[in-house]
Amino acid sequence: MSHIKTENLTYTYSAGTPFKITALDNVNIDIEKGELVAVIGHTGSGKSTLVQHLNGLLKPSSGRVLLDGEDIWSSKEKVRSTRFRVGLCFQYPEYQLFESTVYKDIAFGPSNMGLSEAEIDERVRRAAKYVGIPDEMLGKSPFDLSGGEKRRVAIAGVISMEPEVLILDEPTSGLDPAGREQILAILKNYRKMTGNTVIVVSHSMDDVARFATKVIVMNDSRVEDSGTVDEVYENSAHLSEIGLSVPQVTEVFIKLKKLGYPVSEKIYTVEQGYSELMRLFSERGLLK
Amino acid sequence: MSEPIIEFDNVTFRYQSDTESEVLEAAVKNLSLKIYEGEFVAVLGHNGSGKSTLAKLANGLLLPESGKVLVDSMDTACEQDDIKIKQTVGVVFQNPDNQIVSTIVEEDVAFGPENLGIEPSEIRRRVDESLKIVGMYNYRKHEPHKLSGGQKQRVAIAGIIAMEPRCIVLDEPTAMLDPVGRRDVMAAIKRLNSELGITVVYITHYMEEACEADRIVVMDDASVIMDGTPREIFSDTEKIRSIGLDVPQTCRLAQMLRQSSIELENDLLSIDELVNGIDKLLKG
Repeated sequence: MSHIKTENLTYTYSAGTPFKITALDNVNIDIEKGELVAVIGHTGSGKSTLVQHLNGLLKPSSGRVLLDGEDIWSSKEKVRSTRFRVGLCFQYPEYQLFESTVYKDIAFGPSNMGLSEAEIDERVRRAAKYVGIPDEMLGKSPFDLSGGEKRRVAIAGVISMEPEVLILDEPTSGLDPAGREQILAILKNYRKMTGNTVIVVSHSMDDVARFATKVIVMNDSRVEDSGTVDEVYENSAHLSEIGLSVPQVTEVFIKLKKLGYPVSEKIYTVEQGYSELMRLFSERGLLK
Repeated sequence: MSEPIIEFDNVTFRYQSDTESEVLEAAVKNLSLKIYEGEFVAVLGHNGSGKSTLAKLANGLLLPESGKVLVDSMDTACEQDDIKIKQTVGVVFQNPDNQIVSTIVEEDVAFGPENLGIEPSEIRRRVDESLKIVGMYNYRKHEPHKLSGGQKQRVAIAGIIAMEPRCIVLDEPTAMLDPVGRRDVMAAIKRLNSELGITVVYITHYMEEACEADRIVVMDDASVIMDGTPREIFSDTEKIRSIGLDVPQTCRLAQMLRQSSIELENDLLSIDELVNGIDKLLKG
């Protein structure tokens, strides 16, 4: 059943001026509950504008955004409740930390939801746990933490609202490989523990291949393609034309196939590549 | 070999804590490293390993607590050489938005040379040349804030080149960019090195980018732990992964196959090399 959905969503910046830019052009997406969706596309393709519509931060120029089948702009109350039900974490969220302690920063969202002290406390601790921030760090100033820790605190600030739809705009950018792994684990874990929907804007086709249940490709303000990783990555030549690149290992298999070897081209991770090659070597009796 | 253009001689540096009583761990500890003229050196390391501190030490933005940093044999701690040092080694940072100062692209690029007191006609020439090298000449009259991240970063690089440094240090210049932006910036940097002979020190998280360098220096825990060609560095998959870094997918795949007794060569780096290696084995 559809959880969050857009219908002919169109958005123009600076409408009525000579600088008018159509950032979204008739976008239709339909995301089911519990999916882990990756939105990919080059800079300026409309990814961020799209996700900013999903929690009512931007108002469509035309078209609708539906949460559980209801238009989020149908009433004032509806928009307000949507902002709690759909949590959006911006790119480089660590620049938005502002409180004197980590605890207060994570508590900011829930405090605005009219919850009891006890419930706020419970949520802060639960969110901190999700992102792997230990209790003793809660009393520290967020500005004394490392970059990766700050990022996780900022994400906890959104998770503490326990949104039904958690959206993160490029949550791993600027992090090292270990930091990227940690963030991806948080997302998978949040989805698994709560059964909620997670939407991630990403550039990294390698990462996307490993976590997404559904991929939406944006190009020139439109949805270019959507489907499972297999369905979308199949067309690797086209993806690189629109400024994306398929994983290195996928290219290895495309080339092997061209050389005439009976291998699948649907290989997106190193582990898949390994199994596929081992199969080939074993069929040819080349294994010791 | 020629004289090093930057030499770190047993350098230690620590940041000051806000509270005076607390002494922070050294961000760079007993680090020695020589960068030679004309090299393209990539510096790898996880967050907090000391890479950015190294960049700021390289032209005297930070000064060592102990040890010395020599730029073309000038000590960065020596105040009277400060301007010469900063002219010799320019630094480009991660976030392009923090590095743009003017409202027109060409004025932004002119900012550095203007401050060096260079003649207007010479500034004109340098600005045009620099913008051409990074492929942004057609945008010279544009407003920087309307450019994409990759374009802004190339303008920032042009601003450094206009000062005609002999060495340029880039601190994760592509971390905030998409694949196209990354490719364009990387291409511009490679041109600086191969066509103008500018020494490049390139700090990055992206292993594929590091493969393009002549030499890779790996930092961990405030010092240099590996130093070699990309082939040498990435053939030690396990060591790289043990310090929280990744190797290119091709290297990891080759490594896994070797562990299953498939006799691939040890130094396959590019996609084509791996494909050929596998092809050779299958043909027997």
